[in-house]
Amino acid sequence: MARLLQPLRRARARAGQAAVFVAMVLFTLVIFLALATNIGIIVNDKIRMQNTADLASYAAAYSEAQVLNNLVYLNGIIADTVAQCRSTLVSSSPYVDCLCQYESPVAEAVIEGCKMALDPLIMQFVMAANYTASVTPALQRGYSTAEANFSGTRSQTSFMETLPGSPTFVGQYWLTYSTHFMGGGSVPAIANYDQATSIQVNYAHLTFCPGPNCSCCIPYLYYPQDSFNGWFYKDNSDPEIWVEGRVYGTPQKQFLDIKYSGGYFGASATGGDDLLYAYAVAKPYEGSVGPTLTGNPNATWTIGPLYSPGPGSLVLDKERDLAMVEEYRARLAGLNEDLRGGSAPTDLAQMDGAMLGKMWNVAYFKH
Amino acid sequence: MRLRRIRRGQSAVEVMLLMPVVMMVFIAMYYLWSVTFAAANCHMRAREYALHGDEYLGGRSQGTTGSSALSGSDYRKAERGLTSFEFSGTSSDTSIDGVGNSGVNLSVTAVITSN
Repeated sequence: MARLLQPLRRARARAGQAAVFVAMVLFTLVIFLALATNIGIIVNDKIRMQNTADLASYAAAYSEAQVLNNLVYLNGIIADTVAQCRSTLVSSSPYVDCLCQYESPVAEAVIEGCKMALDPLIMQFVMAANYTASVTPALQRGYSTAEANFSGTRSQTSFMETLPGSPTFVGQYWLTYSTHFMGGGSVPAIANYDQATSIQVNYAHLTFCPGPNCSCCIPYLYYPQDSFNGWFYKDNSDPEIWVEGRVYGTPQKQFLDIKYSGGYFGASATGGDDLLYAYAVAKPYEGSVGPTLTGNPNATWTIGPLYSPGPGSLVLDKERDLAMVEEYRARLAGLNEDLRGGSAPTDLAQMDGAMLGKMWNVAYFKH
Repeated sequence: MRLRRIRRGQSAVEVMLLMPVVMMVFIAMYYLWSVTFAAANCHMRAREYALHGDEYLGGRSQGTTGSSALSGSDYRKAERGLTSFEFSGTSSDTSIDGVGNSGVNLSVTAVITSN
């Protein structure tokens, strides 16, 4: 009897074997499906995050380029004013009078008027270059761009403005200025600029003095000179101005976080713990606020004449290299690019990471 | 003997029944990858268009429109002062058709804005 039932028992033992096997395979496939989807989402989010960092940094750098072009314009007005003053003095020379003194009161009045005209222009430049009027609004535009590209990232974006050594750190760069009647000082600014403070002006003064037989007959020719505070300049063509942006965020959930409502795909910047980070650098380039390169083909400024022949001791303060080029644009730069000013971008990223509790190995930063 | 005959082919039937489910999983994986790829492609093209326009995409900017930060072969000169600006690229892409011919139409806008 037992022998007769043996085949039946064996058959029962095999029943559903394939189902178990297929179920196991199916389970594995579903796991792979979830994994593949999750990786897809993370890759997609990483791209979005990097795009956001790139575009936000570009927006900030472009705004700084706008500020710089405005500074070029204001600097040009200062230079034009100096040129007009010089032209006036030269075209009216020699100033003739019978006062028998070294300086001509008429010419000196012209010089004083020029100084009074220059002061508000200098202050206008200083106010435009001031950190709060240049860098702060530029970074705000960077934040707006981050938010516009990846909702929720405004609060998770940084332009390293709290890190000493960053070009966007308040107090990293200073502008020291002098006026003629409105004092001077130093303000935190978009970049370090020097001011030309010994811009020479001169004129010829023909004055007549009393002689033995006359009250106004002995001529004396003088070449009085004075100096202005005027335009601002740098000694390099590529200013130490750049913006490093960092954005971080996380997918909403770790698995299968896909929605299509309103074109939304992938993830949001809140919730979950798959934190993704992206760094980017952008910088203004191709312009020049003040005197920089000798022989710059874009240099078009001439700063008026000096009276000649005059004394040979006149010093032309930075004029020979003068180039004011209102051509600032913005471009993306590399994290490993050799940028001037402050810390290197990778060092800033490392400092930023430390503040976020991350120890970045910047050797892997290739962007 | 009769019992053995009855059980013969049972595994094949079980596999056949489960095969559509397995196939569905494979199709779903392929479909999801397609959506992911399309989305990534969209994001990259939109970004490139906003920054470089047709210059970078080499005339292959199908489905991508906008106003680029690039003008000619160089970046735009920044307008003087903090005037408002907006450069953008809008890219669209369609994933492969899913079950029931429902390919996902994706549209992504990358924007560089002052607002």
